[in-house]
Amino acid sequence: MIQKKVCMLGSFAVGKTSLVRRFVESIFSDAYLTTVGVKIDKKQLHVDGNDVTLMLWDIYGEDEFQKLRMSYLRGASGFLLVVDGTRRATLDKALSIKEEADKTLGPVRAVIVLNKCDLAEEWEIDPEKENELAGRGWSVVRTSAKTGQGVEEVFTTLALAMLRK
Amino acid sequence: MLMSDELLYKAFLEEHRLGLFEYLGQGVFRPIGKPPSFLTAILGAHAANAPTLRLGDQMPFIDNFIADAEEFWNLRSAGHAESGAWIEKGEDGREHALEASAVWLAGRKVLLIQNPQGRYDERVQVLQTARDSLLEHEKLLREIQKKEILLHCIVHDLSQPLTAIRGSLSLLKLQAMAPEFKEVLEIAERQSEKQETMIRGILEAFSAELAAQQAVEKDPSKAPDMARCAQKTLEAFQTTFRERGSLIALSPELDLASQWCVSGEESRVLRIFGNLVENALRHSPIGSVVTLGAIDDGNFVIGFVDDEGPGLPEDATAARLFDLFAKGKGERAGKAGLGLYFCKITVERWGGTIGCENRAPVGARFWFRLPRASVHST
Repeated sequence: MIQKKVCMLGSFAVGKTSLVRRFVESIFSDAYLTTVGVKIDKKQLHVDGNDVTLMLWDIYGEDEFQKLRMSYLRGASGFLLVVDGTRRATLDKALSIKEEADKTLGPVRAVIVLNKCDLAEEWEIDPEKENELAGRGWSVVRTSAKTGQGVEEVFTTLALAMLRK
Repeated sequence: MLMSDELLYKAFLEEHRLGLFEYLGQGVFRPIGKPPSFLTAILGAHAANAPTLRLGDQMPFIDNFIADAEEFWNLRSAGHAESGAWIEKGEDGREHALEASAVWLAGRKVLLIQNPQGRYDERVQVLQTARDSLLEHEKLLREIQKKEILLHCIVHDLSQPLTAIRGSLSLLKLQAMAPEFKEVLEIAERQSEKQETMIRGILEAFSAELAAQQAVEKDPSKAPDMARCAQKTLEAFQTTFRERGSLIALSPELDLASQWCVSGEESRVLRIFGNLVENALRHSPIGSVVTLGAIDDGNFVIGFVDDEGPGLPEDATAARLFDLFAKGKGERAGKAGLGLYFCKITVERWGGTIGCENRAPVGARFWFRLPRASVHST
């Protein structure tokens, strides 16, 4: 069995824990419960003819109260950089975390997850910006932990990318 | 009867929710004494009672921490290395907050695993409150921006034509006309007056609400510092620029130590700088530099954002560019034409002005001028 460590990274309240819960347990709650520390979950996938166990490291969102410890990323095969599509600033934060992570660990497979896509009225990410990121070779996926849209896809996309590396 | 030392030690570990393990190398640990009940619930009775065990098998987080712990043990320094908090699910399905520390004890490499549940819960509660407040603040700012735009739509788009209609009705009234027409004219006048009163009522309601929500900071010591706001904006956008292959910089002439406090409120000054920088980025060629700065202008301070783009469109005037729904042209047009409009109405509310101009040989400067805090507060 292939095992891969995946880190969920991003600002606070972007939906990292909700994405993991939706993916692992098919559960969603509207209430925001902040994550303090790290929580590790497992999920098995069958991708490209391989059985893969994803070790999902749900790491607290970085802000002025909690700085991200780069040592938590040690041994990771991939990251999900989670962005709240209704808060533009969380995209800048995700990019800055990725830059830091690359400096520490070297380039690792990553997918930018534009979460909360069910909130179309409040969406703050320009399609132009999405295209620009995609044009630079990033995988960008819109998700909604609430409806489940794109959730399986984003983990499968990352698993595939990690296997093909 | 007195408790034996062994039982006392066990009771101490249980009371303090603490497990001790000697590190034997290669990820293998030896429990020092019987692990407390919270660890038995996580590790399982079989593993917890084994003479040696690989903690990482049950707790992958420990595997990750061993590298940091080994580094600490190899340095043989005093103190301890901390893992930070993590959550483990017990066999009963309950979640336990844990923290590990690597220490030297009596010449042995020892790992302490603690379950500081009470302290952890308090920390969660404090962070939850702080983050809820931050989210609420962000949401409120967005709502205020929407309301301001609505308010100004009412002022400019509804009030102005109505003023013209009322003027025309007054002129008509001076003309000689049949009594039945005069009656119709009086109805039109009364209705337009009623409409004007209604608009004024809405405006007053909004103005009172907005004034309560966003009072200008009157205390000069808490007033926003234009230069610091420029620096914070730079920090927020640095990565976006780098990713795009462009640069964002502070003007070399900007002296951060000088007095740059202005009338206003910091989060909104940051938003103004942010909107101007987003606009500059949209119009900047890859590899170019966007520069932020502040200029002393007597009782005012001017904040500016310079770009190296194609400059202002030939048919553009500053007034038009800052208009509602002025989106620019072509593929680099803005999203909804609200960003610059928001800057204008905010700056003007604080008694300032806003504008833009071409720079030689290339590019444009977008600037806003605000009264110094001490001047405004009097």
